[in-house]
Amino acid sequence: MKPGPVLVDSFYHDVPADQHQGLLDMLVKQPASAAAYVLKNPAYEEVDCIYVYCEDDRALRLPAQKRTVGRLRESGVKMKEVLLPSGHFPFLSMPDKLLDAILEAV
Amino acid sequence: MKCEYCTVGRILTGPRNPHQGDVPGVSTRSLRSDSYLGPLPSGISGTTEYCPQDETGAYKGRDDIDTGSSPGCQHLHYYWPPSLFINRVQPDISCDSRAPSMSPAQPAFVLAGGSWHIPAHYQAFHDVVSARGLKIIVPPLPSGVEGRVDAPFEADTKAVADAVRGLVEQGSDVVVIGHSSGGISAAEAAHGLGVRERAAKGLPGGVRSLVLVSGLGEPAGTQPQWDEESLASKAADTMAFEVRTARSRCPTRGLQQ
Repeated sequence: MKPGPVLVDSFYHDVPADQHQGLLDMLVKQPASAAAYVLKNPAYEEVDCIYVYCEDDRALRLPAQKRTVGRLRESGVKMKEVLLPSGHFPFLSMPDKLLDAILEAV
Repeated sequence: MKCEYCTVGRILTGPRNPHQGDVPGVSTRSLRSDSYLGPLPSGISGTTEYCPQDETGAYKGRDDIDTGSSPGCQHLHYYWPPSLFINRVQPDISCDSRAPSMSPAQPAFVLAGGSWHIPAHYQAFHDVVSARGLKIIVPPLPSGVEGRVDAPFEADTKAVADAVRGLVEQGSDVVVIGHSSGGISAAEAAHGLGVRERAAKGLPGGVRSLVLVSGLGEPAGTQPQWDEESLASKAADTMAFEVRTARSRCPTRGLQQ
């Protein structure tokens, strides 16, 4: 699979196709370390926490999202949950629904 | 952007209401301001002073009733002609009677984007938020900008935290959104700026909520875990070698309303 289709499928599969090339063209390099940050003082217990699950996410799939919430809960974090029928980018595929969900949860 | 109403509100500094949020029917946020113009909600006792006058003798208030506020400002604003009085909320708030209902003030947003993505990828969401009159900042994250960045975690966290702090210091309630790997820097950036911690110190505003949108998150001291079954790791491998250099938008340009 060429990078373009892999990335579109991972990130933008539910975003209108005419936006795909423009989105791909804007991607930047990211050091691998960015995904391996170790939190020092996360604010999970200082503020209200909400997790917006993206049900059809193909980059960070739903079971992975749930395991993240599970690990945080085991550590004592309280987490409110919201489910959106979205891919990895509800910011692009359903921005209005995402904002509604967030405003309702906070 | 400063709240035009707070120009009035800032004149009225006084002892802060220690019973924030204790009044049924009144949002915690709407009572965060320790003093304001207009009639006191029932159930709250206070003293009345006249509104300050400017050099022309005009009252520094507005001659209309307005319970709204500029986007991003969480103070309660009442303007009540013709008396133009100021009420200072006293510490001895009676919590028995029901105060008039008020719509809770809307928060401002800071969005920490995910790996490989720049603020322009979040333009659609930014526009939706702005169209509703809400403030949103999508800061560029240094780790995703061309060139090597020493200590990328600290750099990204600082970029997000600076945006959050700017809003908080204006007295705004802030919702910090972390998308994908941005969930990590978002969680770290909100540290020490929580609305409860600030209220305990008598400070207005603060981070109300942390929202993780398909975000990474781990307890302190733990490295984020990637889902082996997901495409993310494949995408990451691909990205390491196949990032396009031609860009239509500048990655260092953040979005700010």
